[in-house]
Amino acid sequence: MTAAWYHLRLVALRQAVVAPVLVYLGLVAAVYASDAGPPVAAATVTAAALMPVTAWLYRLVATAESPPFADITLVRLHGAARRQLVWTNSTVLLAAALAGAGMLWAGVANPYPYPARIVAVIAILHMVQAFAGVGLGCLVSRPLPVRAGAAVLVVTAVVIASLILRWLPPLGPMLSAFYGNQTRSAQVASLAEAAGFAVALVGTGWALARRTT
Amino acid sequence: MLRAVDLRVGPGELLVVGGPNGSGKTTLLKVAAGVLRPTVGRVTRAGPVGYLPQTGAEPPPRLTAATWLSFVCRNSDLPQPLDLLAALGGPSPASPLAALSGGSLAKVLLSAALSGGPGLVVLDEPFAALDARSRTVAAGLIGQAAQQGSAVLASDHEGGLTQFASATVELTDGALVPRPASVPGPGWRLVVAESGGAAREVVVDCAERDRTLLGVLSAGGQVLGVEELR
Repeated sequence: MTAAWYHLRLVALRQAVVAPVLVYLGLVAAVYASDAGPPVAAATVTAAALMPVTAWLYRLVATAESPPFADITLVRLHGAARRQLVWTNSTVLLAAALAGAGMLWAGVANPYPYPARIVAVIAILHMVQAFAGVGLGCLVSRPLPVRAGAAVLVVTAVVIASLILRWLPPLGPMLSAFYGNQTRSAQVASLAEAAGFAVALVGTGWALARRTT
Repeated sequence: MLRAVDLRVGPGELLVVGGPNGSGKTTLLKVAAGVLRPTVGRVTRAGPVGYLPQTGAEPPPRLTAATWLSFVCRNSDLPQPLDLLAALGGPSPASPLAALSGGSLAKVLLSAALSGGPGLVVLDEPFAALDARSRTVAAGLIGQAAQQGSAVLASDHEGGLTQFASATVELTDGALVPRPASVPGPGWRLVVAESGGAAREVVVDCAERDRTLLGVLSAGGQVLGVEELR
């Protein structure tokens, strides 16, 4: 059994993923309850929602085992770096499934054509935000000693700040560029900023984890 | 906190770490296994590591012993964990981990740890939750792991590994104090009285201590004194 599959199985058996999955699908349902507008603009909203949900999922994956069992898994995976890679892989798989469900919902419910190019753009939007969520999750999860309440506050604060300050990645620039229908170069720049934000957070999280573990 | 700990466990060796509560044994074993990083110094491990933490853990819900072992143990050339579990008299592999007693769960964890080598096997109080019969079997399996080439590092309050140990060290306030290798010589002075008989004094080694005490008590005798000779 691969380590990623093992962790997915753990969170499924704990039924811990039910809450974030329902929250995300509920938001997707709300967005597409009526005419949501052009496909990319509508998908920008669901992609933005995927960011905090992915951070939540990352924390659930990272805390799926109680400490002594987690210690055995850490030894089995030969260290904190590989364990965080496994947590990242597991979380990205969950986020990709949610993104796929959201895109499928959009294709069925939104009365606009969804050619392959548009679908690819929407997929990129979602996965960039998912990686940003992973990065944020790294900073509010094990092995860093962050309590659940503090984690919720941090994620909420980042979401609100990025929505208010439109220049602050990962959400602000992407929403401005894609929802505001800006130029293609601005759109690409917003995705690059979000990706850079994700890489910086993941790198910081890994560095802190190596010092902690 | 550990201070100036310099330790080497080679293939085929079984090193037992003793010491009072809070002396740093669990920390030392976590550092050796790779659960904790030393703030100063370095740890070098050859080969894969099997690790048994202290029990008392909340197991993952609805996960069977077999499923968990299939994830934790991947080395096919090692003793199969299910064989080890059977040898220990452990629970059925189909049992959910969360439904197991403390002793049964300890057997599953020990099976995994002994299958995790053959590089290094780190065991933190492997007998803590086991009954008397299982302790004997477990001690034999741990000794066998060392004989087959694993480097075994274990803490042991029960004295069950003494007869297999290549060496024992004492940890006091985070610092290692070497002790002579396991000598089966005098270790315990026992004052016992057989049922209806006079009190007598015997000096036995650690391995013989429990057997003597058990024999006296099960024959209706009394134990009047137990003293460790240093």
